[in-house]
Amino acid sequence: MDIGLMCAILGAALAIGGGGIGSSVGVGLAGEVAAGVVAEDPDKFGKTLLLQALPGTQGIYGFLVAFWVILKTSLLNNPLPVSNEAGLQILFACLPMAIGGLISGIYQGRVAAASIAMVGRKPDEVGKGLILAAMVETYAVLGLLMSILFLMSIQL
Amino acid sequence: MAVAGLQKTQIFILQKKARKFLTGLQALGVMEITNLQDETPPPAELARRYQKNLQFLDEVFPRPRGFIENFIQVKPVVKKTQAAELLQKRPDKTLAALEKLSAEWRAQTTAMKQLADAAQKQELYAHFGLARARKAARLQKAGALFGRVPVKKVDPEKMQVLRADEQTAFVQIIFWRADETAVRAELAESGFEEVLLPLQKREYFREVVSLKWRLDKLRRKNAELRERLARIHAAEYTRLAVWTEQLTNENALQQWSAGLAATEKTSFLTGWVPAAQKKKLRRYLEKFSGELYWREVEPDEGEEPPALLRNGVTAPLEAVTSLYGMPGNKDLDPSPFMAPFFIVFYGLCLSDAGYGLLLLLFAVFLLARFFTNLTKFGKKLLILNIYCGLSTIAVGLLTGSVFGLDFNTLPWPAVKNFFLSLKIIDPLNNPLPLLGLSVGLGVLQMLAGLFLRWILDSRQKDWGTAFLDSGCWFIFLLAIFGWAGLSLLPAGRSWSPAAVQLADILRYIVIGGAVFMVLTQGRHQKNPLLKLGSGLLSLYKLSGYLGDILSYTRLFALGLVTAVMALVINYLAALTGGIPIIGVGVMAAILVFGHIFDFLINMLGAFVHAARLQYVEYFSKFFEGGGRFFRPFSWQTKYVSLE
Repeated sequence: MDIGLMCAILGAALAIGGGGIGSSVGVGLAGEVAAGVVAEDPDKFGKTLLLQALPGTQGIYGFLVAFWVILKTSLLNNPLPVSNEAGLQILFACLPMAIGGLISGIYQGRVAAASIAMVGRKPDEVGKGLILAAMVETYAVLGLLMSILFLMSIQL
Repeated sequence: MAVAGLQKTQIFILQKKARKFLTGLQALGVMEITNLQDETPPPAELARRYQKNLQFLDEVFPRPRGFIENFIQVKPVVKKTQAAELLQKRPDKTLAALEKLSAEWRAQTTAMKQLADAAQKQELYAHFGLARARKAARLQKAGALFGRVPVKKVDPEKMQVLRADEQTAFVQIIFWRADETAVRAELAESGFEEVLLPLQKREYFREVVSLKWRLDKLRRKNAELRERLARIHAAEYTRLAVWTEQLTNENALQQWSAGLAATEKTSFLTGWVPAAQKKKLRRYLEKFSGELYWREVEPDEGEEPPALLRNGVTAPLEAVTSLYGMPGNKDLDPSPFMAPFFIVFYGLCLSDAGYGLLLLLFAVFLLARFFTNLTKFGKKLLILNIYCGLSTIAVGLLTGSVFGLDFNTLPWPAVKNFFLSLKIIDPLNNPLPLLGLSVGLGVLQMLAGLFLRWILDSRQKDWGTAFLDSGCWFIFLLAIFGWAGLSLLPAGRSWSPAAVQLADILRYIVIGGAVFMVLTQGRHQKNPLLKLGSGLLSLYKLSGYLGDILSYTRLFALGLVTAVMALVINYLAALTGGIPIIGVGVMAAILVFGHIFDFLINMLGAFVHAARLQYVEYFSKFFEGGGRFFRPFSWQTKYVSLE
């Protein structure tokens, strides 16, 4: 296997790893608070679940970018020859998602956790909590967008 | 359209008529009363008894809950005619019977628990036997300990194992009294748990049999009681629930009307009536002629009427508005102005025709199934989802995404050609058109927001702000984006010279606008240098507008996420299809769960991000909020939904 393909795989791994870490920390933080709120009032399960799901998207975005790399290099069937330059390009293209997903997932989880605590006291305000958490997600979406645009424009 | 006008109304009524009047007003449900004391007064004795017994029935026979019930509060539905019929006879006898039975039920459950505990203890003692306990009690210089140890920690030299199961050994230990402390310390380390055997008349195992027999007898009695309760539950639950509501409400009305007393003989109430409902109220007030005096008044200085939104087709968007907050009295109701944007944005984010169809069916199903139980907000939200489902189907067809299918693999040429003929954008191979469309929609929405601000400022006759701020910015940005748009057009067409000319004009407007802005935006400052400085600084706002517009690229990115996830799911499913024997099952599971997951997570994302674009990018241009909901005085039920 040549260096180019290795770099491409490293990029994919970073994207899904970064997004996955961000999301699992975020969803975990939110879940802890959600369990506390549900312990007080099991009827709030639905609302807290919505909020807990929000920081989960970074992992999905990371997965998407990784899969994009797989499709681009046709890794599952017959790997296309990837030059060293192209491989490095793919690696760098994955970084916006990897870094953005990692950090934004954690912070979105913190906002989601606080919003879940808010729902515990004011159950009707779940919509506002969703929006607050979505503010953080913007930067994961932008990272994803950039990674995809980079990947689309790279010529193997 | 927009915010409904609300009339402040004051009513003076004879105190003895106040309760009757209030009851009718509650049924009418058109007026918000602002001087009611408690929102929910504490229930009186009888109402409390009814509540208690109803809750008891709910405890014994909890209603089955599906997953949906986590999101929608479901109450039994009672038709109003049925309720009137049920209200003819107060089920006091049933209540008395229930009270007796519930006391009996509680006594039985406590007794059963005690018996079960006692039986469990005696079973434990039975491992050792009463004879040994008696012998041990007679020991003088030596002592005996009985207890449990984990099987792994048994030390056969020191302990005599009497019985053992897989994990626990029941052991006896004989020791010299002189060594007791040392022995106990050593035992504590091995995880020994002492069992103190009581000296009683009857052998332990006999006691177990007797206790279990009593427990069984009690269980049978309890089952009988449960059946009797079930009969009451089946026959009388609805009647009890309706009466509980009725009594609670009567009691509340009593206390409310007492709280409204103003003088010795009269009561006073004040509140808001929507202009459209005034006639209905007046007709009701006329029934009490001679007993009341009423007048319509202007709101006091600084007093804000509550907000009631009144929209036709765009009413479902009120759900999105009310999530943010109600319009204040200087605001426009933004619902109709964001309707096209929200619905299109949602479609772009979910972006798959198959998921759009799912969303549509899902919303229709929930509406049909839970109609009476839904709050007004819930209904609006679901109808909004029907709109959004339709727009998602449209976007999906135009971008060629239907459950992520590759149309070329479809076996039916007619279907394949139908889908291919509709597909006019291919975001996967050429992302720029859709990206451009997202940004273009952003520009459009921002200009719409600034235009609304301009209109609002003009309506408030704040001419300075209207022409020097909002109007100026609107024209300036319109010119900038027009210019930018024109420069992107391809050259060499028949209309190209006209476009170039227009672009030139727009360029002058942009330059002129910038100069005008620098000269006017600092007009609040006194120092002429500062005037110029803050004028220049105001152009910096442009970068803020640019940032707002870039935020709309999320529409493209989120749309791509849904579509590509759907592709990936199909791809993975196809990979597993080749596995022998279980392949088809795995493939089906991946397809079903994968698509449901993709649908749900992106549905949430589409709603949240479409709403965010309205709140953060759009509302910030023209909408302030801070109003409060109009809550007409009406009957709020807790245990049943009246239809």
